[in-house]
Amino acid sequence: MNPLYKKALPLAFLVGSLLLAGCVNWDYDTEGKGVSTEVTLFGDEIAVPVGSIGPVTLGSLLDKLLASGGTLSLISDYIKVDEDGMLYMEDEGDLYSINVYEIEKSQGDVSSPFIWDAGSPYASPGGPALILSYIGLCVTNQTVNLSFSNPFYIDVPVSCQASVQCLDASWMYSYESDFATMEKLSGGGGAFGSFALPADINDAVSAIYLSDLKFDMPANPVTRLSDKNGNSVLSIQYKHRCGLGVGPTFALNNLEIELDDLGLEIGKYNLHSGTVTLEVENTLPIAFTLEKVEVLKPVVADDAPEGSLEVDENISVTEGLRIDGGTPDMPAMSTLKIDLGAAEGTIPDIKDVRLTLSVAAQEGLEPIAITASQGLYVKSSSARLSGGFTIPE
Amino acid sequence: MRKSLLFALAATVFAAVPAAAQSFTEGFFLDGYKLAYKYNPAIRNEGDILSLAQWQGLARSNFGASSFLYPTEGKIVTALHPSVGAEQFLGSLRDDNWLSNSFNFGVASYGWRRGDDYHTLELNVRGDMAASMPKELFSILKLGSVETAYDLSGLRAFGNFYAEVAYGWSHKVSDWLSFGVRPKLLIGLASADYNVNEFTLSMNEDKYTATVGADLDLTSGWRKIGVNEDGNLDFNPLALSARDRWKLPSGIGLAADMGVLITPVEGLSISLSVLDLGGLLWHYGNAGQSGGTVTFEGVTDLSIEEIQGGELAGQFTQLKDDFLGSLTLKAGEKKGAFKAIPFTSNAAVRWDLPFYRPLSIGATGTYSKMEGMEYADGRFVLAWNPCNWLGVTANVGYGSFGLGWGAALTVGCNGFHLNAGLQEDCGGRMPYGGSHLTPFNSTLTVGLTYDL
Repeated sequence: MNPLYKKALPLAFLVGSLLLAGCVNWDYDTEGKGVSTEVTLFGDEIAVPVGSIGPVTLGSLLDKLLASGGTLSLISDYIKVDEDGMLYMEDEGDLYSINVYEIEKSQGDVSSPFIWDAGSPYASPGGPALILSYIGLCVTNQTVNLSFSNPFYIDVPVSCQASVQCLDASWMYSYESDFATMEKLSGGGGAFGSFALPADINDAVSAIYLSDLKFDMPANPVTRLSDKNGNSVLSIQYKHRCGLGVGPTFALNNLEIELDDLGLEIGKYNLHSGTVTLEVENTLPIAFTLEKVEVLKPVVADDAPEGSLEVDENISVTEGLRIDGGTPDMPAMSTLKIDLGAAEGTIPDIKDVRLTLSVAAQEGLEPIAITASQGLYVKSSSARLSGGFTIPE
Repeated sequence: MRKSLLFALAATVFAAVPAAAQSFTEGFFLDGYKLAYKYNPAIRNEGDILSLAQWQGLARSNFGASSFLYPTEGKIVTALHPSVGAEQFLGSLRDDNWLSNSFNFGVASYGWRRGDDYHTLELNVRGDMAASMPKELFSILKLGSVETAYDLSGLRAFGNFYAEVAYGWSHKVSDWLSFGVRPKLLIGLASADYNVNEFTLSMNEDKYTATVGADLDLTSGWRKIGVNEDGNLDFNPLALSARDRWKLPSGIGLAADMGVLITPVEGLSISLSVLDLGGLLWHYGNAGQSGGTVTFEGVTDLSIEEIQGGELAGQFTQLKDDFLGSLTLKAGEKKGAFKAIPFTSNAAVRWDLPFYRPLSIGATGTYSKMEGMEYADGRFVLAWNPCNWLGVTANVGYGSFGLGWGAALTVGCNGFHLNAGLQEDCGGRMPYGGSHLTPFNSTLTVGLTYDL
């Protein structure tokens, strides 16, 4: 073999190996150093449309508000929703009731027809409705319906002057009116009279009077009973119904509402700050002020009761945000911009949030009936996260 | 007998060695390289030759691993790590980031000389593969939704495989001029092309909107992909139906190489050539289209209770499903499409030094293009051919991806000629796996010929 050939081949391989080896950069030794899989996405910012939330209606809020205790819990049983979605309260009772046997006993001689003078009975409905005024709510669209029960099988003529009276929050008479009633009570029972108060009367009916109530009784009234072993009571009943409204003095301060089990497991994404923007539509004539939003965290202490929470002071949330009040015909739109940030580190998982709210009647709005369907509706919402979010290894 | 055995053994060994190449430019400077006509069909050998299992391969990309991996203290992080700045990462990428790989396996070549003409006959199997990704894809991941709208069209991956039957003819016109042509019949074996021709993405706090349009062209030489009841191509599992009626090869085409060799004075050679002008008409028996617009404006009337129940996360999951649904490929009509094969143009000058003929200096220039992916470089070459069984050459130059170098060797013994050549960039490689750290043009050629 040619000597040059013997030398050339090994030299060629050596040069080739050196060339290839010299090109290797050991700074990129992935097997020796490993590769970190921690990534931060959307490092500048990412905007996310969250969408519409709700509506949160008064009907759905009612349970939460009433469960919070206080004055509202006293009237919780009385607030109902009618077929049109209107909130109303209803109260009923007896205006006048007497047993026929008692009439005979009191009258003495009943051998001939006589006038039974029942005096001027009255009733005080709207006890629960009156409480509304303490917190600035008012009543609207009040109606008083009177009915009777006649145990006789004959008609009984009757005369009286029916009237209603209303008291304001200072317990001063603010309204009174007479209304017509039936002139005879037919056998059995039926409607005696009804009265609808003007819509602009927002003080609750405090008394229903039947002045100078007199019955033209037949002779020997007991013998005229339809069922001597059945009903023998002559009575007049009332039913008072009113809608709920917001009065100009309505105000509730520092209502605390806790939203628990939110399940926002964002701690693992190492977020530093973000902004949530909400376009809120309010059809309630009530302005809401979000005094405080506090992120709660479990108490870490040996002697702390299980499940107890405390405010995470590291997390700041915009305070003093306001939602203006509106009406179903003219909803008020408010833009809330809520900045959420961590003073140190990153935002942890958010499971519980406490909202401190103040509510008050929207200035400039007249008292207006409110329906269960009125409420708050987040028409659109979005989140803007700055600094990206990190997916750890 | 021993020569034949050696030849067969060498062919088997080289058949197992993967390689990449385009045209072996160094071959122009190596006297012992018998396949220089592949570089310029005008180049002729002195005698007849036979070649088996010539491997050529090419790997090329306009981005490197250092765009995505960053060594830090004691570890390596990815480009999306918080310690890597957006400018550092995105500044290392181009608007269109592509990676290509081509190979040329010479099954057999035979060359013979008759007078002033040299003839060659070849059978090769070739393949071209590439993928491209727009930079904006990475921009979204790194920066977020800072742009009004992103144009992510240009996502593409394709591969074409074909056989080539070539006849070459070189004719010596005069003492200083030769020309050559090599027409080629191309027989398509398989082709696949997935192209996202429309992908606009708008992300703002009111709405996300993605408009997607993609095509899949797939030949069906052996089987057709099944279609499910929704009219979509059924890939899961890959349901192959009966053989397509189109029984011919998946594609047919023509191409040609052309070149001239000028030797104005003794020792000075100028080579000009154009290779692979042509293409194939492919029959895509499997074709699919996907498209649609997906919008996400957030949830609709979600209640507080539903948020607490995790419904919000569920809505984003639905968004992901909707988006993936828009990428589902609906079966389309069969179609034909012409696709050009990558072409290359070369120019080279070689001067054998008059005071020492075995030593040559020269320069080369190359331009190649594949489906919009362009590459060009120029190199200075030094070659040494001391005897008829040894030749070495080295080069250094500058191209589309920066500095590069190359080397080649041919060694002969008893009529056998082993050739090997390498071109590399100067950006370095990662250990073990050998991935290039910077944009690169890497070629490797290994072959064996025998003088008949």
